[in-house]
Amino acid sequence: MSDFTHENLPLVGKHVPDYSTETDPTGNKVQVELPGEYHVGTVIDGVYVPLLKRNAAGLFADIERLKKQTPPPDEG
Amino acid sequence: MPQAIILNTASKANTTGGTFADTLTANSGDSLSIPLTGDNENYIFSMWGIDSDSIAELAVTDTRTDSIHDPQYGVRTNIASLIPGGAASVGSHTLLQGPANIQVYPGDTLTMTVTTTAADDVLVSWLTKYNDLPGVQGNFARWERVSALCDTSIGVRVAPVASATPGLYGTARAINADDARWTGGKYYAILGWTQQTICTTIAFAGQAWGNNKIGGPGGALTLDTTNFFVDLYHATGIPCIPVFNGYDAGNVFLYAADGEASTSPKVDVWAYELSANPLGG
Repeated sequence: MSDFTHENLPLVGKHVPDYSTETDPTGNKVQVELPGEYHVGTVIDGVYVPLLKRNAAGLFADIERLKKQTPPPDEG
Repeated sequence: MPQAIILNTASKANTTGGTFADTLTANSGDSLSIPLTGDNENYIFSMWGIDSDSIAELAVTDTRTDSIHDPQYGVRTNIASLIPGGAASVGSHTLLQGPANIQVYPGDTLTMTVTTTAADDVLVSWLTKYNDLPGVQGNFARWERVSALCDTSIGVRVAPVASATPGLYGTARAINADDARWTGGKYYAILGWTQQTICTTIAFAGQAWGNNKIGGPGGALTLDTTNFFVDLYHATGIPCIPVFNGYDAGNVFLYAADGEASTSPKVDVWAYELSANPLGG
């Protein structure tokens, strides 16, 4: 009998942006969205448990770079 | 002429990759050149850096064999960016920490080349102490004076954001932009800082310090920076605790630089409000 109380836990990921308060040209405070972090985690009985956090900017740049390197699929 | 400690940073975004195939460029306002000094007592005594995605190796060279062993690779030092926690989660690694140091000579220029994986972003910062640096004499105090004149402690939020280009400093953030409790007429000594999010380098600059940068690492392995400038004074003996007047808060700036784009470390600056000017002015 397994000692595990949970098996086949899902592996999930989510983008958690960051924010900075800046001053616009008219002097008003505005909230600006920043890349923030990308979290990889699991869910245990409905509770999200982060396993890994990394800066999102680099990850998104890598994804965009990969898209450019990958040839589009043949159509027809 | 005064002693001084100056922070410089060099970086390269989107490296070509390969064995020492990429050369770092000084960030805006910073320099790889050693300034003209009154003597040769100039030492790089602290250095840190990061590669955004992979392990990397840095080679620091200049033209003097009495500074670095040879101009081929000079001082090679590793950037173990995947330890601990993996890529994009470390912020900075220590590359050089006193008492070991590299003596550098006026008129010479550092060259920093890196071995990386293609498309990485690399950032290296270093502190150089000068025994006799002509120019502006910045307002830097000794811990003994700061401690003796302490009226009260204050922690102030400042939220600089790193550049959208990895490695570069972001826009200067005034020390009163996010929390304006500095009192005009009062003198403040900046002891150190804490951060919410790691980044490679936190820098301070202002007219009170000749607009030269001073600062330290903001990575996961060196986050105990609450007394950074006090520790720096004890390590070097050079008065290096930045002092400014509250009237000048709008002219004191923080910068963040990171191996990733647009990192927002959300700094809380630790400072003492002083009963008088610790520099005796």
